[in-house]
Amino acid sequence: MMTTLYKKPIIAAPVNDPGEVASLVEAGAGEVYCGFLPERWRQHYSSYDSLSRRQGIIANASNEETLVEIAREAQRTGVPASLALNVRYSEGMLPEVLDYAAIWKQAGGQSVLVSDLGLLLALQKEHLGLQRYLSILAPVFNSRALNFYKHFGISRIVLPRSLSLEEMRVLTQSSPNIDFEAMVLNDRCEYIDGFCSFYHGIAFPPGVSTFFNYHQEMAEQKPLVYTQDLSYAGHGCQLQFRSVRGTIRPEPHDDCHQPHCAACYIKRLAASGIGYLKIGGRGLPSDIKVKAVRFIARACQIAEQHSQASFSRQPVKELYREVYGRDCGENRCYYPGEQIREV
Amino acid sequence: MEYAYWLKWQDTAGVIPSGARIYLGEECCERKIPALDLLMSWAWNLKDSGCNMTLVTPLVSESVLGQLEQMLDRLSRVFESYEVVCNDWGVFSLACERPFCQQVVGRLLARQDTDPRLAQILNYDFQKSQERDVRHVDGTIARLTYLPPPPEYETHLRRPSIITSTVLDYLGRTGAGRLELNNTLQGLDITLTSGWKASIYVPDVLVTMKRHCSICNLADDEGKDGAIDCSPAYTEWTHPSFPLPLYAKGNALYYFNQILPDNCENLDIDRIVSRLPEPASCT
Repeated sequence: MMTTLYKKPIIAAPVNDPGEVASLVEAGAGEVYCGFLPERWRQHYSSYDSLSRRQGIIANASNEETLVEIAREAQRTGVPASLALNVRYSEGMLPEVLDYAAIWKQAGGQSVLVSDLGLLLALQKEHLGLQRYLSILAPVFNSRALNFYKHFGISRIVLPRSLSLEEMRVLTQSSPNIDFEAMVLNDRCEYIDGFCSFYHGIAFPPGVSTFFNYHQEMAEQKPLVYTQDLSYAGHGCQLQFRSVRGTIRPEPHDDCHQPHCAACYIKRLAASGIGYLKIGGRGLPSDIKVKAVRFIARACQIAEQHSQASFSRQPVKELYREVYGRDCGENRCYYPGEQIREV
Repeated sequence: MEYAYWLKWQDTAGVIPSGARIYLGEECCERKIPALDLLMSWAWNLKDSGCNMTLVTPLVSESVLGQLEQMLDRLSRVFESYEVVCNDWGVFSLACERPFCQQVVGRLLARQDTDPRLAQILNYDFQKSQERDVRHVDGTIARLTYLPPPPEYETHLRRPSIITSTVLDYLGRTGAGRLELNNTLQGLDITLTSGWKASIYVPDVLVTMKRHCSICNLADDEGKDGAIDCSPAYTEWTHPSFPLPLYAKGNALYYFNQILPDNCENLDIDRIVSRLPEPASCT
């Protein structure tokens, strides 16, 4: 049975520049999270998704000063900040990753998003004083898996995108002393994050102007741009493969102008025990991020104004149309299979 | 080297190689967990043939945990020792509590990089052949140039993240001592701590998976009773940027790599797991 209690959830917003924090908080973010991809790491392990699941310096703080400034700015505006150290690491990487976690803590960061068992054990041993959130990259589908991860001192779990709201409810009820977070906007993917090995590289599509760092070393009178995979054409989930059955069309690409969305499920998410709503899109421009936070904050207000019995998706759908200038549509829905009680 | 055969549990009349280790079960889809009566009939046949049994399990939702629990309890009455390959930490903890059951870390939990394009990153000649001009948004034309990956990154690509001494020690304290690995195209670089051994799967390398099956246009009702193989065939997927085809089966995507690492035994790999019948594209 669905409980009718509604506790206003907190919005977790993506950030990659300290200058964004204040406007995101002003728009309604209750906390922020970011990634890190410093020069030293890029030299050793590429600019791909080797330190967090987002590749490149556009989606990550690209140096220590920026990272520290994000943590300080979050502190100044009174919101907690999380650092995504959420991919898998091999043993040789762990000292460096721990070092980044220590920098984050010292700068005022509150927590880290983690999925790697080796890092969880190392964080436990090091007593850095950071809260540990289990990333969406460590898939938890049942209460036993949740209990397994509890041994590593986690205080929050970001639930997999593919769980139904009812499955979320069962999990949250099994562990009342853990906080739960769910995705509500951007970055939907049909594959299970924690079991997907398609790597996130950097594409240079032919004939398309692109952002990149280039070096003014002259070769054939041209500057150079270095990469480790020149044939990278895009994330595996976004490519059109060919099969005997024809072209395999991927799910609609993530589009910040018509994002994947769960805004009309906020009421039910909150009732299912979800206390934190995550907005994806660390690499998006600042104005798009602010717009996203404002949209979700207004959707939360709509959810708050109605009881479960009187709640309808329609006002939220209208809000989506007002903010993004087009209808959300079922193929942009985070939980398309869910039955919403319409009034 | 031990050779293990992963049989289709749906084949009640499957040929059992006498004395071998037999894998049964599913690693990606909870809806394809073997039906209990069929599994038990396999279990007794295997016991009579002097075979060792390994049950392969997928990630599972809450509602399926009870089903697996029942399965493990029943198997514990047949075998004095059997293995359960766990691809969900919840199932792993369940297996830890069962008598006669040896929990094995499945390849979904071993966390390897299995995108076949990663092998291309290490291919100098291929990458050099792709160098070209690209245009920055500021209008600058730059030469896209190959930067070979540093040795640390190469090592990382070849090493599953479960293989760190602290993690293996932690899991070893639960009684686990085996992990399952993909035979990745970029090769393997592993050193196991004492008490641990690895199996390698040939030829299928698991790349990614969805929660539910739609890759093969599986109808929702098919396979629900667990008695039929609802996705018997691998469907080939190709893309020009991939060095080899992917194969869709059920809710997962694979590629095939039949060439074993030269140094299998130096890598503490003591078991090769092959599917029988072999995937059609490999024969």
